[in-house]
Amino acid sequence: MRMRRRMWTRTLRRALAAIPLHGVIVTLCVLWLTPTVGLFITSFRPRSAISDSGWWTVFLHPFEMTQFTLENYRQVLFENDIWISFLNSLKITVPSTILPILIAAFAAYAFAWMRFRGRTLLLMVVIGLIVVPLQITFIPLLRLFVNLGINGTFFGLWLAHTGYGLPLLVYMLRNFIGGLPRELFESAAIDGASHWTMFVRLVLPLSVPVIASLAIFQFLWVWNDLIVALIFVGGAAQTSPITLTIANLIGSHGEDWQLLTSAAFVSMVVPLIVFFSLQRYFVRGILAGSLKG
Amino acid sequence: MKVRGYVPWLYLAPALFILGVFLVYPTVETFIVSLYKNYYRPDRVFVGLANYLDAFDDRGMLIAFRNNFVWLVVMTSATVGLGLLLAVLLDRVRYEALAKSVIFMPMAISFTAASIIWRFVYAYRPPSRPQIGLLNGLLMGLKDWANTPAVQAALTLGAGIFGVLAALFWGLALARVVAEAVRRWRDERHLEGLARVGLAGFLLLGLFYAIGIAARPPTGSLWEFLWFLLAVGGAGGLLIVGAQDRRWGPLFLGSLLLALGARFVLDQADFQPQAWLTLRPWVNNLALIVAGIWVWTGFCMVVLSAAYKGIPSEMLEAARIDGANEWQVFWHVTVPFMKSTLAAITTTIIIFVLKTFDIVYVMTNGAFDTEVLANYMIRTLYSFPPRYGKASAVAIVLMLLIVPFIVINLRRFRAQEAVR
Repeated sequence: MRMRRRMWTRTLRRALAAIPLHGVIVTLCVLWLTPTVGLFITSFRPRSAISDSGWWTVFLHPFEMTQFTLENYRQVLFENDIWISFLNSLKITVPSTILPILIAAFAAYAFAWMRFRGRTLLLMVVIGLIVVPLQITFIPLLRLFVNLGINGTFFGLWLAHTGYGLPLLVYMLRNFIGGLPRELFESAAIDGASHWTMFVRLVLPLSVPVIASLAIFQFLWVWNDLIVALIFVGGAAQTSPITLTIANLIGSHGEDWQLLTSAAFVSMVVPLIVFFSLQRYFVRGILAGSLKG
Repeated sequence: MKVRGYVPWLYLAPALFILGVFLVYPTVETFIVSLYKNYYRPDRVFVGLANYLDAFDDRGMLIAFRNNFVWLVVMTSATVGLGLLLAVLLDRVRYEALAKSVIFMPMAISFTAASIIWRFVYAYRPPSRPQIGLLNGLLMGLKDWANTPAVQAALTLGAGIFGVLAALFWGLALARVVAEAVRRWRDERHLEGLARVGLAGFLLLGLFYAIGIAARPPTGSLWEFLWFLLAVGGAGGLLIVGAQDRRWGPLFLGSLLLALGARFVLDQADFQPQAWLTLRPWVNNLALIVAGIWVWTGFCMVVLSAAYKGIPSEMLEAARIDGANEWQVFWHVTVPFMKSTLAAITTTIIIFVLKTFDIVYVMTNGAFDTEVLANYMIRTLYSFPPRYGKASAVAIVLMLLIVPFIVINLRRFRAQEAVR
């Protein structure tokens, strides 16, 4: 009996000692979550309610569904053209993800498994380009785009994002493809496989996990990009991605929180789906991408 | 493997073409443009470094430099520090995965969306209207609370009691530390502890002296400043010495926090709503940096957590069995073991901080002295008439600042790959 009581007190003491630990963690999590929750709740409140009371007042009657509305989303999607921008973002992002990864995979394969003169030097140059910050390319490229007439087009943005993404993608893919076992390629060569066959039948299937991580990184990078769109789309509203449209909304509707919050949430939907459904690849992709200049 | 001469180039051609057009050519041209006045007009003039001098003579650029430096110091230390704290703490709880998702989530969304979220947190209305921004709303709530007579009385009492308790526990902790140091000096001629206590005592004297000085109107002399530094250092050191004591340290910290918390709430009694993003120069810059911290802490946490889980648990256990407290284990085992990861993450954050653009562009566009280099470059580019030479010079300066950190990062990455 006494033994049991002592064990019980020990458990209690341990639980008490853990309170600060849980306190710190829960506090931080609440701090991290609250701003987003505020945005989410506000995006469903009518305009008058938003300006008459703080979003936290909805918790006074949490089950009162009449205080919520979808009107903001209707307005922002169809009257402020966020829907068009959302589609634009997709049209920009998907090719801007596939194109650089495909091109980088070809180059990475050549760098890893083909011998040619100047290979090391060329690879060093490509890797060296990782250090180039985007800002440095803006002025000449902007003029080039204007001269070629591709400023403000999807095509121009695809090319720009491909260029900015390539050095890191080549580097990462070369590291991976170069690390595949040599015997694999030797036995394939003995069987008479050409480089093309090896690339398509061997390298690409084996690289699927790493390509998935890199694709997620590149996808989110382009989806979330503002500065490249700002430079190369500029005022062309019909090709503007969602980030740029939102940034412009601030200029014209800086205090219309019903529009800003719902627009921001629309832009967050795709990344959040990617994040919650592909979390493992997502983290790996972010880690790889953190080297980007 | 043998290939015909041209085959590799077929594989490389698309990549080389795009890299040439989109990175190599613009970098070279930007460098040339930065040395000219009106480069894109027929009347261009070679001006050497005049664009650079012009940029550095500009108030906007100097403010951008200052702010980038503040971003660098505050954001890097906060994200790495918080990330480390979370990595260590989350390892001990069962809901680790859930908490990590919460902290990491901001990494997924765009800086533009993050800026809207934080702009809303800082939203300001005149005092006559209800506040809708979280920060002003929270502080107004505290104000109402602090102005309730009963609460005010309770808080004043609480602040007093916990203040006295904190002082008491601190004294007890110090006494224990001193006694331990004296004992070890007597028994083992162990000097380190005694030296530390002696230094702390000396610093305490400095503190009293500094309080005396602070009570008089400041003269602005160098000695005054040095005493001030000494006092701050001494007070900090003594607080840490007290907090490290195993028996009284936690009680001291706990009551100190409660006393400070009560004091803080009391101080809100005459709070007025603030337009946070216009309060130059520190509040608004810090407000922007907080948004950056919110985004980037998750990244640091994930990387550092992986490194923390790589520490052999026997090492931590051995240190604990040898009688080290958690604080000592952290500083003498955990941190040294994670040194290379900490260095890597610091350089990565520095690179991102130097390139900070979206948050500033969306939240203030550099107004109220919140300019940073990347945004300044874009503004120079879009000024009318566009000053290409100056904008190029700023871009080159930005690159020169970033390059060393990226090189360090790539080197480390290559070394890791070689080990694998």
